[in-house]
Amino acid sequence: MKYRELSDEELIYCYASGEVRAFDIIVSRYTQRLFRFSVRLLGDAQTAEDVVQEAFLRVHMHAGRYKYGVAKFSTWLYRISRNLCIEELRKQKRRKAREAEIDAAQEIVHEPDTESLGAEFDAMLRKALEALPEEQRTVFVLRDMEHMTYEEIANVTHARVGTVKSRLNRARNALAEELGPYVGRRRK
Amino acid sequence: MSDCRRWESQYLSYMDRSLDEDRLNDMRRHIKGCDHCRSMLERLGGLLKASAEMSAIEPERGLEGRILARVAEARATARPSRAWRLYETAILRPLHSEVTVIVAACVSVLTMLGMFVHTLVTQPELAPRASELLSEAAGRVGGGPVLCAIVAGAIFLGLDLMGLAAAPLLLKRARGQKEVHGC
Repeated sequence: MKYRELSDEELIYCYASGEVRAFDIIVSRYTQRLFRFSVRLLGDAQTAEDVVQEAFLRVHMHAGRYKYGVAKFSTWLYRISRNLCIEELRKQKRRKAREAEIDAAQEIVHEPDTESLGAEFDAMLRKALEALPEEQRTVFVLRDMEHMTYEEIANVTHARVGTVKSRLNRARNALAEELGPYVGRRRK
Repeated sequence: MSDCRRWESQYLSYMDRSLDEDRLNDMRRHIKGCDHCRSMLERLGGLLKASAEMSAIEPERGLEGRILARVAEARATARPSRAWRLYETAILRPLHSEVTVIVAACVSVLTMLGMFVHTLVTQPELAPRASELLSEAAGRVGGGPVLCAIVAGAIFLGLDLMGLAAAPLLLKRARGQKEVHGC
């Protein structure tokens, strides 16, 4: 059977019916996209990789629950990843708070983390993205980096299209303010 | 500046080119005379360009392989017990076929009809007296059990007939789905 010619929805249906090889194609289609998405939400490549692995594991476990024709498979997959990222961000927040308490108690000053993704602008954008509220960050990443439609983003984030647009507008304006001089310079 | 706040909420529509003609002209007029909005829109343009360029982040090599290995491991550990697999192979799978559904429904209906015809042929006197016999039996053992037996028999026969009637539709639907999903 030529799995490569099948749509995502057909592939996941096949997988749920026991066609194990269909999953390979799904993984090859989405690994990089999900990784990029997760890195931008989390700001860390290693954690993003863990999230991507966990997301595919959940797809495997719940393949039978995917409702054919109700939502696009990609929307479902991004929603799973986003939920995992939110979970991870909460854990990080708790961990950071705990570390800060320990540091304060032991009077240890940590050096800031070295930037793993290299380029100056990537680091700045990542930092600026991290400063945004999670809802705005997700919408910005899905629209301006993953090029999803407003309707798809609304499905992933369980929000209305109008809400998505206003979050995106706020996110862009905040980032433009923050990175302003730099993006202006880059453009030239 | 207070006027700019109003226009800031329109930046998205302006960049998406989804403003209507009048609004677009108003905004263009405003931008011409407003350094803040002009600078913001320039920054936004730069931001979108830079974000698109940032799309080249790649995961470490071998991530796909690691994912597939992890899923394969999960699949292996979630394997059903040997007894269940035996039951599945020997009983469930053969039963879960289109032909079995039709054959089972036909056999069931034919058996009931056969029993009915057999009774009529071997004991013809029962036919005209059926209602009498039933009321006699009801009188002997009480009305409840006999009535229950009749109702149960009727439901059973009804379900059989419904199954037989629905089988072709179910088969057609299953085939259609298989074609749609391509596997």
